[in-house]
Amino acid sequence: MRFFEADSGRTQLGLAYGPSALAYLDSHPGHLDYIEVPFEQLRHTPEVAALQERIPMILHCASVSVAGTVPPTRITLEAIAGIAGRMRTPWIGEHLAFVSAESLEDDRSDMHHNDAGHHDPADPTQLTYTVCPQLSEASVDRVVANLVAARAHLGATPLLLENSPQYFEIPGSTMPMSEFIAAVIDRCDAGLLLDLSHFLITCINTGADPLRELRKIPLHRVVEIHVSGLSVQSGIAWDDHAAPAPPLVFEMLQHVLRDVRPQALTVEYNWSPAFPQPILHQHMQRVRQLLDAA
Amino acid sequence: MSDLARVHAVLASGVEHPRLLEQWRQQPETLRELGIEPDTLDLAALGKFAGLSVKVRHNPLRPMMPLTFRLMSVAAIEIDIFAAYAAFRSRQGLRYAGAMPARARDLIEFLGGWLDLGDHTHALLWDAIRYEDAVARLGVWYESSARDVEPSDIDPVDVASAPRVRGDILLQELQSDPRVLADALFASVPDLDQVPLQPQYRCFWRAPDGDDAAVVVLDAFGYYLLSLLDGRRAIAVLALRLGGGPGMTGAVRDALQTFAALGLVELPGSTEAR
Repeated sequence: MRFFEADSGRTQLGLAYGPSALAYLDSHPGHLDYIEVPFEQLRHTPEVAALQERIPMILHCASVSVAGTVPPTRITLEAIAGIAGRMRTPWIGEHLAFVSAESLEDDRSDMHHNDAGHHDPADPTQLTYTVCPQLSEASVDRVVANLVAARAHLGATPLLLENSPQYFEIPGSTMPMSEFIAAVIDRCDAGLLLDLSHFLITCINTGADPLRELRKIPLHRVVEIHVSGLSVQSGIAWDDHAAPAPPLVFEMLQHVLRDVRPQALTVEYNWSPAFPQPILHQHMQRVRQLLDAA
Repeated sequence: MSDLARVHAVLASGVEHPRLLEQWRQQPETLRELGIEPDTLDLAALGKFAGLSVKVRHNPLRPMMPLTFRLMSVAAIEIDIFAAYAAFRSRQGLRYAGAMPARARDLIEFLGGWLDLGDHTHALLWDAIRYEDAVARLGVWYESSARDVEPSDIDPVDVASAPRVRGDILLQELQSDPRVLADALFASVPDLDQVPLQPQYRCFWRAPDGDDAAVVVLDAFGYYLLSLLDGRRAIAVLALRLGGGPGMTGAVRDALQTFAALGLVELPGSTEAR
């Protein structure tokens, strides 16, 4: 088994797990330091863990719902902790988002009374994709409380929080994404997983200047960076791991690297097995050059 | 429920049950009753986000449908399509199939009713997805039951004198040449307007001892001839079904011999075991 070496003094370069990553690993075995694998993938196809015979892994996750109001089950948290322990992942990257929420039926007191006349909560709404939370003080409080609760199950493995892409105004929000990220990171011990594409998407969709907004977040807390593509459809910029990152993402990376030397940088071109390998290789080299020049 | 929880509950319900978005759009007071001022939530954007979520759910289809997904991306219509699909399935109360063949079939069925074939891009997409589905359906990953051929019950049974298809075939009438489409899609600057629309006929064939589907380019005559080939119709019957008249039997025989030379058809009286 091969394990990620944290605090190596250099930024290690990896790919998000997927067919194109495996093809790249086969064709360029010396160019990759690690593969980042989702917990959800390992939970449903545990055999993927065998890949660690060839290359170190980092654990990514979308199940803790750290910005949500419905906590994950104890079984889920213990499963994450188990996989993290076996993998010896240097940290667990988790979305600063929610993936489950109360049922709307919970808000209707005339429904779901049991025989004793007590209110039975309806099953929460479970999503398959993370959602940007309300950007507010109440949400920051919730994240901080959720992290404390999750910590009891996840053990000593550090947690990184990954900024969400924001596609539209979230009702009740009182602050922009950059302020929300800064407030959360200020009040917890988690590091920051800065997804530059998510950050750019948020800026495009909210009319903000990405390079100016980058200066508002605690870059010194960035431990890992994500790079992926985006597409603009129906007047909105969308996360798109089947598309190559636009030039502005590399420009943003250059700016970030002036302030921080992250431990890891993951390129996420993992949605399409047909992602062109020459472009993948070209972008890996471009990232490596930017890291070397920083 | 706190204000925060209520906002998240509304967003999650809208993503998971997009039919609610239509209800909230038509009756804004129902959204207000849930604690959300209607003008603070962009329901159209939330519906598109539901489309993104469903699009990602269909990523496992990408290995079988690279042209289809590439076309949707190049034409920037993925989000609109999957948002419409999400709303459709929510209205119908349908869950997404777990098995990929069923998920592909459901998506194609939806697109068959949703696409506007008078639109150039939509016509190309309809061709691309049916082309890739046909190839996939003859592949080993697909449910074997999906390849069953329904027997014909309309013509006299004369098995001994009837030509038959070797293996499994699927026939598709397309409006574009998938090879031209693929070239356009993977050009550095894709221009879908350069892909002409004109009738195309394809036979997707997997030989009895083959693992992969072959694609045979046909003309209209070959297409309709193969569509009639059920192992029960004799050559004379086939000629009659194709219009009859002087020379038709000979034309049918010639075409069948060409197919036989490819290994696609077994002619009556053939003693060679393939």
